[in-house]
Amino acid sequence: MALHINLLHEAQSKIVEEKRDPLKLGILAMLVIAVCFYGYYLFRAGESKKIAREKSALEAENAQLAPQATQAQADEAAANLSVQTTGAVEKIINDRFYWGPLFSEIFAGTGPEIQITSFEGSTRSPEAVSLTVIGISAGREPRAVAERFRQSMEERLNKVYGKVTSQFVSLENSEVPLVLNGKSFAMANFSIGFQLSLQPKP
Amino acid sequence: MKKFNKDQIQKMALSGLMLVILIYCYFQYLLGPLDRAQKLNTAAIGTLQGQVETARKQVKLGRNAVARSEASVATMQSIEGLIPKEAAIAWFPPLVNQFFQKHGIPKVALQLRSTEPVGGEGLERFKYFSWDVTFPHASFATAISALSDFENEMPLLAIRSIKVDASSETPEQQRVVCEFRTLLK
Repeated sequence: MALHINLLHEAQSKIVEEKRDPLKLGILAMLVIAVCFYGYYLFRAGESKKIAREKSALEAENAQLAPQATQAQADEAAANLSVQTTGAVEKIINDRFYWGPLFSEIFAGTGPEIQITSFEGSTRSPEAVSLTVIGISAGREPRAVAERFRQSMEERLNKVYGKVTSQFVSLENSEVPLVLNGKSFAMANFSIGFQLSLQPKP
Repeated sequence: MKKFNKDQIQKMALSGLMLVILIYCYFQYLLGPLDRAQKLNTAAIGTLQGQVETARKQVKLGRNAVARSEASVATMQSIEGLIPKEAAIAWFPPLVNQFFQKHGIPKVALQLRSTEPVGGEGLERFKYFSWDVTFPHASFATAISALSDFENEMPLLAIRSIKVDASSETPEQQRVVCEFRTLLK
């Protein structure tokens, strides 16, 4: 058996030791880690830049929109006020009480045995109208004629205006008879008050 | 198992220390500020998105309101077109006289009773003018017919009260007293 003697074992073990130097290995490992860290940093920086760009774009948009929004707010307020004002004026116009139809009803509901001598009406609010009709009723029973007139007028006005109430302010027999075509009729003086409670318009 | 010598242990400790320093510096001076800036930017984006969204909605609301008010503006212009620019006392009595003369009532006495503000937001420029109007000699039917036409033709006028008295001397000619209220500027 041949004998081998390695005279270079010390030099060889030194080379191996140098190859396995912990500091060298540590620096190598750190370099690898640093490269990975840097790669991750670059990835995150790219992401961050994207977010910053998005923020800048939003800031620019906001700077552009903010004055428009302020103007729009003022425009909206002005427009709403205009709508409100016009609505209020239209309501004033639409809520007026028209006397023409009321007179038509009174004319149509007054028979030949009734003579209206005075009429007074007023409206202090769009929903409340009061009127007083003063006149003369004639017939065998003039008071009954006046009562029929009151009832029929109340019924007639109720159909048109909704809630109407009426009452005699006065009803007195007249001492002077009415002579018509040679016939004499008893007369009564009446005064009737009507209250019209109109339905408020929407 | 091979044991490390002193030199190797020192080198390993040094390597470990360097690694710790590397990690610390990386997180403290690179990734940390980046992370903080990113968080701040993300939060700012959230706020800005809200602001932009609100602004967009406001602009849209403003446009819609303006579009909606166009009809109102036109209506108001037509209403204001009914009111002459001169003082009411200068033009309203002649207008009333002319109208009722056309309807067969030659004499109309008209007097301004009062003016009062309408009240309400946006209505500051409008006023109510109350007028006492007297038809000394008018047929009841003629007066009522004329008054009906007048209230139909004058949208800004309201007849607040009417009083008709049959005169005993001239039964065909009644005295009609009214209160007109006009909405004017």
